[in-house]
Amino acid sequence: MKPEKIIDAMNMLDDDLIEQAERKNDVKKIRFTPAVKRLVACAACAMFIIATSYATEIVEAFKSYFVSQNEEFPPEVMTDVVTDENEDLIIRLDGAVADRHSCHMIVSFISKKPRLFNGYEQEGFALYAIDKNGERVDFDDRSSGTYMEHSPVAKAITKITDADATYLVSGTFEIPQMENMDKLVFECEGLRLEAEIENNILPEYPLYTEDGAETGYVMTPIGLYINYTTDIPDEHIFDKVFLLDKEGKAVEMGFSGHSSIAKLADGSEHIVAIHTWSAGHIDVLILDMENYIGARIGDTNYYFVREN
Amino acid sequence: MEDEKIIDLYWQRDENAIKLTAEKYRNYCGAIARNILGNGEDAEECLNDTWLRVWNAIPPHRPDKLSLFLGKITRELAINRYKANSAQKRGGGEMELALDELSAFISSKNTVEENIEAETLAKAINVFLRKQPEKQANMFILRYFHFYPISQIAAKYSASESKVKSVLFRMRKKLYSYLESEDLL
Repeated sequence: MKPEKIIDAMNMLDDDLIEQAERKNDVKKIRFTPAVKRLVACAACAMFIIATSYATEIVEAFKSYFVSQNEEFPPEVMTDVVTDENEDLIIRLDGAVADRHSCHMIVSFISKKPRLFNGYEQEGFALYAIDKNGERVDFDDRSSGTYMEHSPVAKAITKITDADATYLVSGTFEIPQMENMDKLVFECEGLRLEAEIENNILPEYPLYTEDGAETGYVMTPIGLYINYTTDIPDEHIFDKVFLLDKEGKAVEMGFSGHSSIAKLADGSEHIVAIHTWSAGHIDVLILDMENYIGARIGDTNYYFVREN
Repeated sequence: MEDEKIIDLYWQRDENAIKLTAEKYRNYCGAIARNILGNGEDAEECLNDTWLRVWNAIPPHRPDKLSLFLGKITRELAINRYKANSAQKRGGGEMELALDELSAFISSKNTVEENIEAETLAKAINVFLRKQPEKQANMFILRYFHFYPISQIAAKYSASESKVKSVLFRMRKKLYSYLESEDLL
């Protein structure tokens, strides 16, 4: 069949499908009656209280990971603090981790004045890397979750004590890889935090089949990735991943991720599938690899080799 | 002016209908024509052809949605013009790229019934798109119905261009598999 046939046939697409695609925003404004508004508000409050109490434990563990565990486990990239001229706003980096394709940074905002934090809309909000030549390199994919007192319904991590707002900022590179980068940079409201990442990339755990064959899959404490060429069928795109615990039991794992086509310097095209572990609303999870021996992808178990 | 009133003017054979249509939908139809033809002069002529076609089509037609009616006419006329231009090596715009993208999967198999009715194929594509997640389906439609450049789709969805390419790549593969399962490939 000539591709023109597909193009011609698409002129007979159903109108509602075209309208749906043309819609400028995917979010429609919904008008609630006052009674429904009250009900929604109550439900939101209840959910917030439950979520916050649940999240506190996880976030405290996450924070302590950065604050106290870096001597045992080396990925703490840096902590830093910057402030504006009048010291009205302090932006503090509470921790950062990176593997070869992904990074997470936790950033706290401490303000003397009441202030509304708006995530992406915050003035001068940017996350990028600086390569070893000092050039800025933007991430291919970026997300941020925010705890805000005025808007607790954001994709949230729990606020770190003494901060007015805490951001979890994540970025992923398809290519080039993080190992070619010198530092991560987070900018907001004219302030700039830098994290040295060179020599601080998390350890990697290549996965093998039961027979010891190489697979190309690589597990890290923050995620899983694989590079492959486009002439291989869609076998590395998966919807579900299980971790294999020390007893070999499969544990369902939340993750967020994407796969993308990346063009290499030699002109060839590769697909890079990058997934970062997540745990519900906290959005990222850093695994203690001592607790796992591998992963189940599709129906197949893969294992990493632990160096002792 | 509301679409309903513009359509009434067509039915009354009032030539102001053309002027009002052009005023209201020049940008919308112009974008479709330019995406396909990538040539200012051709796109402009295509728009004039659209207004004339609509004048001849209403009545007897009374479209439910004037914008979509115009969009489909513009698209069809622009594609026809593109085909004529291609014969004279005057191609251009996103149409050429879109055809290249589709041909990677579609034309590689020669077991295809060339005589499949466009209507049958369209029906299958509609069913396929309804089975896909909304965002992916929208990206596919914006690319292969409206011929939006990848960069515009990426901007609309706040995604990287490579992510959009990845979605389209997978959608094309899925469509190919679906059409094959329906014996249309």
